[in-house]
Amino acid sequence: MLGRLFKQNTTGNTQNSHHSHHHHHHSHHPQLGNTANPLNPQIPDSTLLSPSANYEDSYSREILYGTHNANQLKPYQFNNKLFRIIISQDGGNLRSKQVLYDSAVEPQSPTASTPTQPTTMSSSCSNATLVSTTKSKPLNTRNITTSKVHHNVSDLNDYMFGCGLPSNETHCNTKIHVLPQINNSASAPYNAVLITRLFSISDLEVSEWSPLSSLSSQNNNWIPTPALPIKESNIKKYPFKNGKDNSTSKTNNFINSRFSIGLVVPLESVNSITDVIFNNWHEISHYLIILQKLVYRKLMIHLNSGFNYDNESNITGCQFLVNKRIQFPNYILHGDFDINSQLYKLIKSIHYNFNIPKLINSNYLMKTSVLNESHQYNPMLINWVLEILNWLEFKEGKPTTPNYNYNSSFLHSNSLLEYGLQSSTQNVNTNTFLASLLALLIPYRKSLSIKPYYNVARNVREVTRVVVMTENPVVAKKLVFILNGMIPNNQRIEEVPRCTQMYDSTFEEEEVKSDKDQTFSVSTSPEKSLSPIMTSTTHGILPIPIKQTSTSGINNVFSGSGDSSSDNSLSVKWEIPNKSTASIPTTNTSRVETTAVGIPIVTTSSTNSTIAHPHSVHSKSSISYLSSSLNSSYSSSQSLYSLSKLGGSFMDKWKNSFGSANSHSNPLTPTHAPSNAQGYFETGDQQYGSLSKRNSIQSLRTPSPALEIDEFNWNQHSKPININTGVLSSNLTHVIGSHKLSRTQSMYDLYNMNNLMNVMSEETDSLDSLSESNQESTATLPPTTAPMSPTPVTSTPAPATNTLEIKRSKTSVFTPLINDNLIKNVDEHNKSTIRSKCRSIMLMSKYRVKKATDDEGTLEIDNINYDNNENDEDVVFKHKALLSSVAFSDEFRPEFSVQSCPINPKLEQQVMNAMKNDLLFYQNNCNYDAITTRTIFISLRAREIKLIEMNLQNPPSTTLSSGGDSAMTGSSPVASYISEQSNKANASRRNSSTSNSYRTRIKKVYTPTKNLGNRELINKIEQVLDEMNQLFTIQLQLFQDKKNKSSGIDFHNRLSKLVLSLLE
Amino acid sequence: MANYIICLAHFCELHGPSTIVCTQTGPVKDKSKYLIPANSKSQQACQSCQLILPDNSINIITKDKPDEDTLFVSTHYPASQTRFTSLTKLVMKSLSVETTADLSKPMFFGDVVYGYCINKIFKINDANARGSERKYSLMVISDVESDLLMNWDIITIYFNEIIDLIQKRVDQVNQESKDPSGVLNERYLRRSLIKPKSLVELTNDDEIFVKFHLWAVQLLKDILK
Repeated sequence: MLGRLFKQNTTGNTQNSHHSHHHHHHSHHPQLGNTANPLNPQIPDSTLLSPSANYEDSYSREILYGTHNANQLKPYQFNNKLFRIIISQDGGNLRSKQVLYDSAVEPQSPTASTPTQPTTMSSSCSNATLVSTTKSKPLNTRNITTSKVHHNVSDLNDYMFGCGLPSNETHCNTKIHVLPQINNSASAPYNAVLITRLFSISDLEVSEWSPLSSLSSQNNNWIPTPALPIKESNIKKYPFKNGKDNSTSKTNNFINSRFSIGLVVPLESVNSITDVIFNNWHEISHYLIILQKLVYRKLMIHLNSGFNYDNESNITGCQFLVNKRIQFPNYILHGDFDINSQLYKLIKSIHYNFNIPKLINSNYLMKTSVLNESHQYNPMLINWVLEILNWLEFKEGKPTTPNYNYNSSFLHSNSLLEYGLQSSTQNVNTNTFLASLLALLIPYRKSLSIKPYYNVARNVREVTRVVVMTENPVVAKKLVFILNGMIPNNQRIEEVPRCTQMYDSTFEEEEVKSDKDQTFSVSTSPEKSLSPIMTSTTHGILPIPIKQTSTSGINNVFSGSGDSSSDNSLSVKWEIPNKSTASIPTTNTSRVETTAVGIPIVTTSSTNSTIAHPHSVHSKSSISYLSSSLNSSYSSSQSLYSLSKLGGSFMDKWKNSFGSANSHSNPLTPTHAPSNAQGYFETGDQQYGSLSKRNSIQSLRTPSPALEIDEFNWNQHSKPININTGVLSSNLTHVIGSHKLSRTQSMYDLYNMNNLMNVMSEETDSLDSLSESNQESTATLPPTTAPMSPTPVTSTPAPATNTLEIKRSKTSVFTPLINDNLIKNVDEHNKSTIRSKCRSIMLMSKYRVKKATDDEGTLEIDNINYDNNENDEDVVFKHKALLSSVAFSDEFRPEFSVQSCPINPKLEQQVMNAMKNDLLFYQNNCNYDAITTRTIFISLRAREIKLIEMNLQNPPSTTLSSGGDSAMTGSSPVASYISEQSNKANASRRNSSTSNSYRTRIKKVYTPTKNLGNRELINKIEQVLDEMNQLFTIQLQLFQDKKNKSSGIDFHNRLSKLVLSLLE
Repeated sequence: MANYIICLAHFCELHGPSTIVCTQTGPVKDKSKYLIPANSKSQQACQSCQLILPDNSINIITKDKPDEDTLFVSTHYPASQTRFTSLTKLVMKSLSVETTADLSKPMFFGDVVYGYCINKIFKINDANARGSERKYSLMVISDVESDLLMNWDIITIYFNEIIDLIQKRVDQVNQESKDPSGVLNERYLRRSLIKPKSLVELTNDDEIFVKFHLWAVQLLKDILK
């Protein structure tokens, strides 16, 4: 109920916020709101909302983004009316610049100014009409309304061009200003940033690379590198024939005129500037370059139209040239169709790049987990493996938990073998889709770790994208999650070991503190510790029973007791949800009631078994139950180490601490090892601590409402599956797709049942009955219940088991990595840290200064070594932009390297257009010897993987046809006396006049019937996946055999090894 | 790997935009490349442009940690010719070309020729200066655009703190040394020549540039992480 309430609130809020936004918009900009901009009729507010409407549950958020906390990923609805593009020229007047285009200005008669179509203008014949058009246009079309809402044009011109010394530079400049808020009655104050691009139209040598280029050879350590390079052009040196001048004496006209393009981008707050602008700086730079080239081309058309000719068709001058400066009439670009559409492109680009959260670098987290012995990110590792296994099982029909007796582990491998044999006889394509995909991806993952728009300092540029075409975003996201795990991090994430350690310890400290603060303590008062459970149940959050079914695939269910006897476990046909399996009798009652909706039969057996064997480690187990219960109940709760996903591993910690640890190298012959396996489970205590802490946090944080609903859904849908499990667990064919359904929430999704909204609105009976049963169970739950959860390797990434909550924003992650909970406001934290650093330096006493011995002119000063302090206050957290990979985008965006998109017949064409644009962009602006752009195009419905690849080699042979809606200007349409001329030394071969060829190769690498991938690699991957599966199965089994208290560390090491073989 | 230079520059009433102190970082083995030799001809620097250090030193160095390879060097100007050219150009732009409406916010500018810069202009009250204030620019320049921008928020915080500390110190000194009878009259009569004043004098702190060096070291360490 509460869950539903929350959910409704959430949706209501978003609607409200949207609505209020509009309201706000209308109230403050009534004029703007009422008058649709005729030039930009295609800017619909609503369409830009859709990506945010793409719902993700907390588990998905955790695996995709490293946090389940939706607040960190909340989209921001920009006010589109506040975006602005302004193009100005410096006509030589120090005091005023001329505005050539301003998107905030509506022309009085837009129909009068027909858009100039560059393609239709082939030569000078159309010049006359163009000139007349521009002349007839009203020069100043500013109206009062826009000037109140927008910043003053002349102010913007000052910022863009600067004031003071006039500059004679010819190269591009980039500037960023934080604009002051506008204070007047017409608009609410808003934050905005002005991004400026200055460029020249000149026939002077472009001063690119000079004068420093000559020096750079001497001193190679200062090489200015832009986010994205632009190859600047200058106009032909074509001295005008002038009767008065001796034309031989001059080689050119010495034209140099500066132009500026300004983008005004509204911000949510000044603090979001990094998130909106800088984390997406490469994409914005790309946009700017495209726009600059477009504007340059348009201006060249106008310039070419303004020539004066003498009788012999020699150019004698240009009407726009005044004193070596180009002076176009005001608003000459107004009404230009191509430029008008740029505003919309800008809004969309900013919106998509900012509002669609970028994927966390799970590859890095997993590697950290594997290599650094830091188990903080184990949940990511486990979830990744589980999602792979689930994918194999449910999408590929591969038996991940083969039917076998738990006593015969070799049968397991046999069954796998059989499966392989069977499939090989049935189908030529014996390999799984996933293994084939991973094998295809692996060679390209390095280039996937570079943004599609990025300045790579190499001779060869490779752009790789992955596009998943899907009708089911939920499934696609699982696949994207798996793929994302394969993509390494090309950026340096500062792994400051000291910091990490410090935070670990901080965390522990805090946990300890919170433990003390809690009314309940772990080992001493289990009664009190129950209270959270009670809370959760009364809230209707009883997710645990459902998720557990992962173990249900196996007949033998371990009994609730820690030292279970084998007969007991065998007697239980129905598998109790793993988190409650080991619970003590009272809890079981409640559990049973909860699950009773689904499987009444089971109840007795499970209850019996547990009652018959009261748990030996009662109090401890009760705590662990508590932990899992909390884990699953509160979405906002967090712990760095959720071992509940490992199921019994957490319990193992306890068992190990009691002195008996088992190596499970051979599950059949358990050998008792000394209990030194605690390393892996050091986290147990922390989990614990974090749980108690979590409890205290509860009051401050709103649990994610969606989560609870998820769990209800789970219950609802898992009912039949549980039954299946009991009955058909021995039947492999039936088991597939059913017995492990609860293994992860993803299963749910795979079967298209997870449309949360739909379920919410439908409110099925079972949902109601379930909640009823939850209430019952709550009512009957005795306060003294001390359940325990020696959950076996449950594969379940419990939806509510919130393990990762990395502090991040939508586009970046804070480094050093930190838990969201530890620092609420990074900005404030940084401020106070830096303030104390700076102040202590200001108050520094003199004795620190000493004269360096070796050099008389040099003072040596000891560093004020803050880092020696064990004070976490000294760490400054930085934004680290994430790779441009997203889970799902409702339309294909070329900025993203990994994305899934809805099914669209034009999608492949869009992808290919983007690839052609890649070629053009890098060909026209960079000096790469070879450019390769490729896309791994996955059609989920058809189970097809295509590899589309385009190559461009220099030197080229045939004409490069610019395809699609390319805005590139490489091959300039300007066929005139003044044409673009590349200024690079090697320009001749890269020149637009030079024809280039590109090769396109489309290869269907995988279809259900054939597989053209690298068989060797695929088989290798397949083998690793199988081994993972086997490992999990064995581990699962071990946990069911209570005698074999398996060693978690051994399991972890083996798993790590396998995962590492995939990751590296 | 991006290179950074932290720079304090000012608009000298005699020399125009000029660098006072810049801090760079590099490996210890390259120490000599960053230092200005002691026997170099002292630049034609007026009092306000000069880098005034204790014991008439020319350079300050700090090792991050005794065993580490990173060295932080503060000098009056960069010893590298490339860096000198870049810095000079960016200082000039910062103080006499670029403009911003809100002095409380830093701005960014740059190009592929000279490099990239985040700067913040601040003013220091000095009754003897033209317009009763002196114009300074605190800058972080880098040769890698995107890396520099990713540190915008950290740099902004440092700028605010450093400027705040300097301004407060100067105001404090002004308060203490206020001679209500003389100064205003002197200024009004324009009898006292506009005389260059170092930040050392303005803050009444012999080690203000040592402190700047340490601030810059902290800033560099944080943005290089």
